[in-house]
Amino acid sequence: MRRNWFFVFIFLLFAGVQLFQGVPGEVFSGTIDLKFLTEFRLNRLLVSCALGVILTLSGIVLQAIFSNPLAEPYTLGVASSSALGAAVAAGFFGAHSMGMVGGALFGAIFVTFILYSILKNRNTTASLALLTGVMISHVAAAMLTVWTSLSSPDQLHTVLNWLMGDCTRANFSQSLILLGMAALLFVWAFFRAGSMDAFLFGENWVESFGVNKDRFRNEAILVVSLAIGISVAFAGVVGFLGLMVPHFVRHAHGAKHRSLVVRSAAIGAFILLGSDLLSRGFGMWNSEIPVGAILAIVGVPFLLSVLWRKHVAGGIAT
Amino acid sequence: MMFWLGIFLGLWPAFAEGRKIICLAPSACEWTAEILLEQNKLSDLVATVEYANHPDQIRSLEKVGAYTRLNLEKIVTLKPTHVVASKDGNQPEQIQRLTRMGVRVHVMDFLKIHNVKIQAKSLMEFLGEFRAEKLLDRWDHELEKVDRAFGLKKDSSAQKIEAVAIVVGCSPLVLAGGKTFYQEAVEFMGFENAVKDSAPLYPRWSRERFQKENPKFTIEVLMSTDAKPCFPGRERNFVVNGDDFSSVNFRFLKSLQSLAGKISASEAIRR
Repeated sequence: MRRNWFFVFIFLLFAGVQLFQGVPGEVFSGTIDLKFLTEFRLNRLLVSCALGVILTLSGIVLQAIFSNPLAEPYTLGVASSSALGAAVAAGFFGAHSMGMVGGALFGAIFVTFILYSILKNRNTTASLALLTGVMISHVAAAMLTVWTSLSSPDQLHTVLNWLMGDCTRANFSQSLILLGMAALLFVWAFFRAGSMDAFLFGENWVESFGVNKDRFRNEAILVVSLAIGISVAFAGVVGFLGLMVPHFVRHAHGAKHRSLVVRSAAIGAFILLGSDLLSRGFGMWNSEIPVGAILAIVGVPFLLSVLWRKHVAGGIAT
Repeated sequence: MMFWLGIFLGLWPAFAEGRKIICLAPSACEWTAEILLEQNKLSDLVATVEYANHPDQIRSLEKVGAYTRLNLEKIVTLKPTHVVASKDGNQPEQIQRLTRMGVRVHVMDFLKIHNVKIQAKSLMEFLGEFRAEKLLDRWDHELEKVDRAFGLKKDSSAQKIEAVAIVVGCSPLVLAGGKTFYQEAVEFMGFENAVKDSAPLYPRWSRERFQKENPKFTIEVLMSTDAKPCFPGRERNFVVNGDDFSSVNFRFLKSLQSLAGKISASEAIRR
């Protein structure tokens, strides 16, 4: 319990630093520049937290329906095909347009649908779907390279910056949409946690728990692809979070999905918030480092070291 | 007396603060600095971006990020009165966000040689430097020199237009395509770009293909001081400094003049 309060304290501290550190004016006397606060700081605080929640929960949901701990938007190719869709749309309709959101959504839904079709076929396995996802991810990345090499210099800059993941791109209304999507995914995952628990006993036993497998998968795929599409369109591609955080929480607190969903969402939001703080170097760096890069360089070794310590200390359960 | 002194002291900070200019791309910084230098007001330029190194006096100024990835917070915090951006360098959405924050931004488009005078004039108007017209006269003068240097080649319409490859990278071999800034330089020199119809902006060629196509002239753009030429022993291979050959400015014109000199000398020896 004490640990939970400590976590809440650190989270609020980070959020406070992100919001107020280096803001023109005086925070305590209330003369801060509100326009600056909403345009730059509140935006990125909302985006980083929402993105953290979306990525980790998408990982949990995909791991449940694919019955594989390696499933997440990045490894399954959902994120990369969504990025491809958005990049192509940016080429045709211009960056920062609704076309880009549409392209990202189309890419995410298209790949998820392919994977779902494979899963639905009774002669195939979840491993085959996962392998297909990995292949799709490579193809999408290659096509993205071809597309960027054909782009004009300004499109190229926009697409490259956006591919590295960026919590500062979204405007205020977009960050609210992202937050709404994170809330929807969280509520759905929280109330469907029991169904995800049923998948822990193996695909063949799911229906014996009274869960309509097909209906659950349909829902899961719709919600996850929608969330990933929107997050990629507004904040670019950020990987690994959906893979690492659920593993970390499973080892620390067990595999029951209700607790997993709540804790992972909180930790995911916290890690992305911390990474974003680092990416702007607490306002001390001239140029910001993309949050995706910070997450991979700092976040992944940290989470891996925790996992390794746990693994060495007392066995591992996936 | 005390009344006037009070008013003076009250208004003094506004005068003292004066004009604060920030430029957001190396090309925009160079032109802004040229205009301000002409009027001895370079101190009004308070911040630039990384790689904005010309003229030398602006090297030490505060940086507000890289031109493709600006630190918008820092720009707003510096409270600039004028911000000069570049159409080809800066991201449009970043400029829009600055404008939304109430920052006065002027976006330049320096990609076309013949567009430069209009763009420079609009920049002067934006900065309120109407007396920097001498700079435009100097530009005309330098441009004429380049025209004269390549003039002989361009005037002889009967003469065959030779193919040239602009090499911007060695390993892999990367050439500048027809949709890049270099295309205009090629046309200006009276050559034909060997990869002008290429779909990729910067096509990659294998050495084998290069040997097969064998463009008569090659101009190698060395992107750093320690870079080595790809084809040191090749005939009609000319090397230019990438720093001078990356946007349309006075250094670019000088570089073109010097290139014209090297090409003429090489052709004279051959004759």
